[in-house]
Amino acid sequence: MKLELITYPVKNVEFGRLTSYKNGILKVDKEELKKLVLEDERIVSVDLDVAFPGEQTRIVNVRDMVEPRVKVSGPGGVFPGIIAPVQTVGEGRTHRLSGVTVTASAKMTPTIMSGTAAQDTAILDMWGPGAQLAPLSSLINIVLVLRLADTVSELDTHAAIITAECKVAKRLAETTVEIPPQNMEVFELHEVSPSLPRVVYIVGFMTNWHAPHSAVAYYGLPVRESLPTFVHPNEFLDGALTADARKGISSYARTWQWMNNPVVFKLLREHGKRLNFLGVIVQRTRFEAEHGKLVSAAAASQMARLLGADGAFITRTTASGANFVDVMLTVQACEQKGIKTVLLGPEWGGKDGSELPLVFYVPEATAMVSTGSTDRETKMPAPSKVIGMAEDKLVQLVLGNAPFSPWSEITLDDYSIAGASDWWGENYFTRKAY
Amino acid sequence: MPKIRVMHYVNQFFAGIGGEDKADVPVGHRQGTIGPGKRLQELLKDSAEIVVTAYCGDDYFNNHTDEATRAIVKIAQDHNVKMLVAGPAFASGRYGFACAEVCHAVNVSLGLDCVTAMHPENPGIETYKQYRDRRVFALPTTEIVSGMGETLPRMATFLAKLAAGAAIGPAAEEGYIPRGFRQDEKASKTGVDRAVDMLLDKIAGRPFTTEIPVEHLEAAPVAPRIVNIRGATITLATSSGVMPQGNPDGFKAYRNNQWRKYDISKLDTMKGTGWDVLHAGYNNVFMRDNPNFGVPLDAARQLEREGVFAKLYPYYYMTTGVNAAIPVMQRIGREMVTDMKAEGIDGVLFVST
Repeated sequence: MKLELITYPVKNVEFGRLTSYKNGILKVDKEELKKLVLEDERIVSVDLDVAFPGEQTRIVNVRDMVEPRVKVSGPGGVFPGIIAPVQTVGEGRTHRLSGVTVTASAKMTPTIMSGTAAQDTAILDMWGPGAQLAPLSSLINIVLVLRLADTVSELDTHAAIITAECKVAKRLAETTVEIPPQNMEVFELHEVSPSLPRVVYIVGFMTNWHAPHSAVAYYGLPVRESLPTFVHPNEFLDGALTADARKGISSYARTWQWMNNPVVFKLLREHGKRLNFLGVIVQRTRFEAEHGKLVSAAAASQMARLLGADGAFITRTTASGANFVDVMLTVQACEQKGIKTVLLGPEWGGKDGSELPLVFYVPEATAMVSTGSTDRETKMPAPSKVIGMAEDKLVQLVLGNAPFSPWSEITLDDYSIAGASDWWGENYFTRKAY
Repeated sequence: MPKIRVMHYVNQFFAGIGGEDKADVPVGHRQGTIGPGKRLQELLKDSAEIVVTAYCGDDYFNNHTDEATRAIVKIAQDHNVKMLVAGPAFASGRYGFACAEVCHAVNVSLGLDCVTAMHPENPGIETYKQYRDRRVFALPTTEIVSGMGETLPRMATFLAKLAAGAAIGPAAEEGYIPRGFRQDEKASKTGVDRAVDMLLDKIAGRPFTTEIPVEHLEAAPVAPRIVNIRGATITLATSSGVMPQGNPDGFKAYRNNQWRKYDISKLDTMKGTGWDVLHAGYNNVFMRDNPNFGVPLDAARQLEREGVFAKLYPYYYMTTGVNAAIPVMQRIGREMVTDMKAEGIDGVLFVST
């Protein structure tokens, strides 16, 4: 399975009369894209705006974002199971627009009023201290400001948002189809020297089996109480893993992040150089009872052993403590099978860093990389522009928490800043003992 | 520039007064250096001056901790010192404890920077980590006194750095024992790059350093069983976030930091009797439909009627236990139990989610 990924960098986005890409300038025909979005009757209104890195713009009601990609040759299409048939992807040629996102800011009428199944929103600042935390702030955000019909169910809300952002993203990437490639990377798990250490990536992620959408989908299918699945890393690059588009909080990875998972990219690029990348074990976590946690850990580690792994790179998503137990037990199960592990992710530790960094430990977790604390709070100054408000005066992040005006200075935790929790080590943060 | 004035604290043995037989000597002091202080002063050169040495017998200190620390703080104050150095105490437990206590007291009362040194497994390190004073530093030593020769230069270097007003970085870089704070910093490589390096080192058997040390969490002991359950008062407690309608006490959906108890004395069931749920960590739908799952009042009333236990306490205790800090939950637990004991409750049925 060989995938040629061709990157077309975007330096500027302009609204114009014809959607096109030339010399780093992406021109966007607003009316064309609005029409595309409004094909879906679940969406009653849409507007488009652009937020540039460095400008004093705050995007609110942030749900999900994707990177513009399009399949140019090879089986299937990008975002399989969402806007393409369910057909194994990761082969052929895919074009991407880098430096830009299609970001969905959406208003909906919730019917689930609390708990893990409820929708939530995040905030994305394009400047200042908030932007220091969120890599998404360094990208030009093409924002779809969506309003869902009142009668749309929670699951249909997800479906409408993700379909809209994927359709727009694909349409934008299509502008590059005729442009000869300049920046091509080839990703393939080809034969390598047998002396290289054999490494597997176990990407753990919490899902909620009971929710309308479980939080993570594989080929558009929400992953519920499944056992680990083995996936080719190239599948990530064609959008085979996607998020619940109703949930903006950074406790869960957004679709843009799934497509750009830095561990997947790093291990693909190191393949044949410093290591032999065997593939990705996709592990659903947060079983509710110990039995499930143990079985999931046993299955993931057994899969790694059967692949002949010398080492496992292990990550997780969500700040849940129960979820973390599954992850630690997976570390333990791997080590007990002779597979060396490294566990990467954020720690807790409290605002002043005086609490224990983790909520559960196994003695085998001897190699851990910290991406900083999720307990940070960031004071974010008042913006000069807010995208995603429409006629509203207040925004609400999590149901039950007090709504507030986004026009003022606000202090937020990492979860409320889109993409601020670093589950996969894309940032430079660490935490050190004093 | 005038030299920074330093006080040195030692025990009766290093003060040259005597061994175990003199361990009950009360607090005293002498001008200038005594014992290891002499070598320490040589090493400090012009960076700082030990102007006074305070001492105390190890037993005396342990048996009269408050008095002893007060006396030592007074000596520091009277001599107008600007820093304190204590020890090194090596593996001596009572001495290590005294060093940690003296550092804490001097730091808190006078705001002075303090440096001590002892073996990492000295019980004094537990004290040091409990206090977590930002300006108290303990350097690691060998278990036995033969490590004096290599310890004193490290202490002198550290003191000189503090005397010069330099910023003190992370424990691993500065060579002190971590006090239990962690602080975000930017590394020179991304997390994923560091993790691949670490994994390849681990596979190859090369040395590597974890960024998060493994800790041992204290297990909660199981309470003894209630012998006479038929005479017992039982209460219900829950971390499921079942609460009165409209969240009147302002609970947070996650990282909550409070608890309440709510009246159920006139109710036989939680279903359809006006309860709300706030908890971002599980599926609330079934709980909203039937809060008996979180507060099993229906079953408890049945058992009360059958005489399985004597009395159901008229309130239930609640908090929301999602993504909460361990120390916060420990405090909530202690406060709830204190209240339950004051209310004469014999047993609690705790429903977690």
